[in-house]
Amino acid sequence: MTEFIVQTINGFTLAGVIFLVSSGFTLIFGVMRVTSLMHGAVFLLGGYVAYSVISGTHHFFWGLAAATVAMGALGLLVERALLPLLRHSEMAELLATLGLVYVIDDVCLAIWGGNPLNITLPGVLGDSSTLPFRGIVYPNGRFFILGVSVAVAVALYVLLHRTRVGAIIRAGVDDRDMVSALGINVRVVFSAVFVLGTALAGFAGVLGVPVVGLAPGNDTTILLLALAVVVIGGLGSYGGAILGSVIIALADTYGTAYFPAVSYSVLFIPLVVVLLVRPQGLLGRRATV
Amino acid sequence: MRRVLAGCDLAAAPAGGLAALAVIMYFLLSGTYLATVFEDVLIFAIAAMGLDFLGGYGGLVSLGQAGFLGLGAYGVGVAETRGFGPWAAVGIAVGVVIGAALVTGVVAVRVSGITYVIITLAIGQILWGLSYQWTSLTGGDNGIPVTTMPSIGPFSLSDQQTIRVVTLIVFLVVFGLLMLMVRSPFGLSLQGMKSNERRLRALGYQTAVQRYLGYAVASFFAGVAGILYVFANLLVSPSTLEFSQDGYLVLMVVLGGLGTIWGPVLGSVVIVLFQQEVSLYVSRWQTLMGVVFIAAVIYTPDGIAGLLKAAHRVLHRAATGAAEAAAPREPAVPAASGGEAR
Amino acid sequence: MTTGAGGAPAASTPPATSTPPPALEITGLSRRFGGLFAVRDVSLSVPPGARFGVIGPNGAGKTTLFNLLSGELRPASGTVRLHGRDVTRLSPPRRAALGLGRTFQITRLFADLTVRENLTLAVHGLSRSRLQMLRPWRSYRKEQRRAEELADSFGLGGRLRHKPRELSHGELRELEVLLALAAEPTVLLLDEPAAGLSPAERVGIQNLITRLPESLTVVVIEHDMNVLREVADWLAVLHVGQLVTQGGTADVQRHPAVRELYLGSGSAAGEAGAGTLPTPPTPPTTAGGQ
Repeated sequence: MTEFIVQTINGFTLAGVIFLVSSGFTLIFGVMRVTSLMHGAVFLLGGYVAYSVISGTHHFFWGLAAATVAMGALGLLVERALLPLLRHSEMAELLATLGLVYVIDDVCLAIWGGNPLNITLPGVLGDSSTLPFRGIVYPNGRFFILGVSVAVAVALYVLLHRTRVGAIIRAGVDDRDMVSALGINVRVVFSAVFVLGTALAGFAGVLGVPVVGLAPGNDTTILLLALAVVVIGGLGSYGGAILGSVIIALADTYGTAYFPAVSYSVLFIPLVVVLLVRPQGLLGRRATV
Repeated sequence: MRRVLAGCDLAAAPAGGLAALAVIMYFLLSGTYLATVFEDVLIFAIAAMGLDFLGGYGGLVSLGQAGFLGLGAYGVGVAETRGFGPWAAVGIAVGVVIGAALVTGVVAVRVSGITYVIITLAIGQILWGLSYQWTSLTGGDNGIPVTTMPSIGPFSLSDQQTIRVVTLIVFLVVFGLLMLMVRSPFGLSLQGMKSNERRLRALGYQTAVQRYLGYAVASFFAGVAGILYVFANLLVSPSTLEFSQDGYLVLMVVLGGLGTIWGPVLGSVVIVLFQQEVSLYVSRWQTLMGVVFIAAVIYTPDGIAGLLKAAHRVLHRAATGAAEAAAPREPAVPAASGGEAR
Repeated sequence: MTTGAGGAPAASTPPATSTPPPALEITGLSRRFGGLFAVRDVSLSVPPGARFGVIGPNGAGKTTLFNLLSGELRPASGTVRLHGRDVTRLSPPRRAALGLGRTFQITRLFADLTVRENLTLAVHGLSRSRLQMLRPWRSYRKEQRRAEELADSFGLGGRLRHKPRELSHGELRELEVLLALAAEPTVLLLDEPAAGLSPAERVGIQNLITRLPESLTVVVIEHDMNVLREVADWLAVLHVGQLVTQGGTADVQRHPAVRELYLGSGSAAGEAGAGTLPTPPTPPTTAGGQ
């Protein structure tokens, strides 16, 4: 039982990290119809950038900030320089981001090598606490990560549902042409969404290091989890990203803990079930598939 | 004069194909290092052509083909470690691949477009996960070495040359089969599905069935490639099913030319050469490959095949001359990315 | 006046055992999008061989009605019957197999394929051969001949090698109809066949429709009364998703509510036609519309 509680907290922590990545992905897809397969690579690169900054400055939060900004900048570069060349063909955009995965992965390998790296959280965050519940000792860092994820989720929600910008973004998910017909500068909205999405992925990449580590190959793992999340939750659905993240993260965590031989595959049971029962995702709208 | 040119037109493709075939055979049978390279080219071409059948013609691009390739390879490996003879192992592998395709296909055909890409990626990764984690069956990260090779009469596949010839023969058979299949009513219906699924359904086509069959065919060919792969490389390990491998297959098809059967073959040549030759000289070959691929997606969305066809058209027009009255009734340049653009 | 909600024709035709069921019959059909009723409680009965027109201004729900008929949309309530058989739950391919064909208002052809390939797909649509993988479609002589005949019969014989983007708009609309005809339907739904055509091209489409076999039941949507006048002998009028009235073409044209819809003027001088709705006619013995 104690074990179960620990695993559950682990699961939610992982859910937080995955949510950060998949929310960006699903927004980008929802608004721009772009499948950013490079999101996993951005996650990885964010972690590496933070690693270097932290190694240099010995300040975790500088690293976090640097990674977020750098990945946002990368997103801006891609969105402004590369995507316009792709004539809005969804498949071409997907393929281009696939190509970028190889480039980013290789660059990371060149700069940071193939060995797993680590980031330690500063001060009290690096310690563990004894929980009042059953005397469980649990790393503070994970609570921090969980807390930050929830805070960002709330902030995003507020952005999407309580601000004008958010309303425009949500309208864009619903009906892109209409938004542009209303005279709103769609180009700026697109850039903003893409930058936000990649920044989120970079941010998640730093927070994710204590959870999933920092090594080549993580990008594929995270990408896959994020894709599973958006399929389960529904492409373009913010609430779906939250729900999907919890489901996938718990499945992954319990799977690894209790069925290590097939944990990776157990993770996809929710995916299969959703696809059979409700192909558009739990909270997705019935689009013309 | 026009008749001669028209005749040249008809002869161009098969002539080019025969020339390419001659080149491949030369290297394949030369016994040099390049022979292994071309062996890989043919093996991956088989998987890539299958991928193109469903992806290029049917519009359903799968990012999980490496999973089925690996499944075919592991099928042989696991069967042999369990004591089955090589031909039995081949049979088991084929059975496993078909079975897995039929099962996963049920899920895969419920979606299309981007979601389809994601689902096939997931399926491929599930297979990878199994190969990595089910250590009691697959030996985990170490993979499974395959030592017992099948023999066909007096020829044993443990002989390098024999296996290359067999690979070539299988490749040609698959090539021929796929050429036939894209010209069949089913193949046409796949193109119809890519072009306008709604219309197709109004005409009475059960598109779910088409997708299912297309998926099964593509997965089957990937499995066949996997069986050849394990005999040629004597080893299968989880790295064969990695995401990057799925990506390579898609790169081959797109670089070579979506919607043609010979395009993926050319794509396979390019990608395998990058992996095995360019890597010797350029340590950042993956970056280079990625950049080249992105450039291709932007500037030549129809791939090498598209370039060759366009070049052929240009030459043809130059030969017929501007004086020749009725220009052929074709658009000058293929419009945006071969049918994918909205 | 009579802007009543869509009513079923008074008392269906007397149940003589030799009378075949209506080719197409819908009862109480409704469909909403969000809170809005696109189609509301519509009931129609189309006898076999009829030339049935559905008219209404844009936004009246005509295309939604067709999508409900062809199975692309599910109704919120109501039933659709094809030759007496309940098809409400059937998908478009299943309805096609039962004899339903349709065209689309926005030309939906296979843009990447040649005219011949378009027709080939249509011809193989309901046969077992469509799953054949190992035989070239060009080798199916009978089907290819049928495709050629179809094309020839409506003037597209010389365009077989061309792609849709090389065809004129009129030819595209014809090809639309040909694709639907290739499957040899018994009920054909034509969704604004004359949409976007010049007056000259419109004549071509009208001729095509009047030359359709008598045994074929044809339901045509149009918002252009001129076209319907030539091809339909029975009209149903839709407005805001509801059936306003239906009757013989001439009667409906004179109907005050219809005139109001189309001409806007309050043509108060009540011509005949107010009051109860007539029953649909028995299948005409002569071809075409009046």
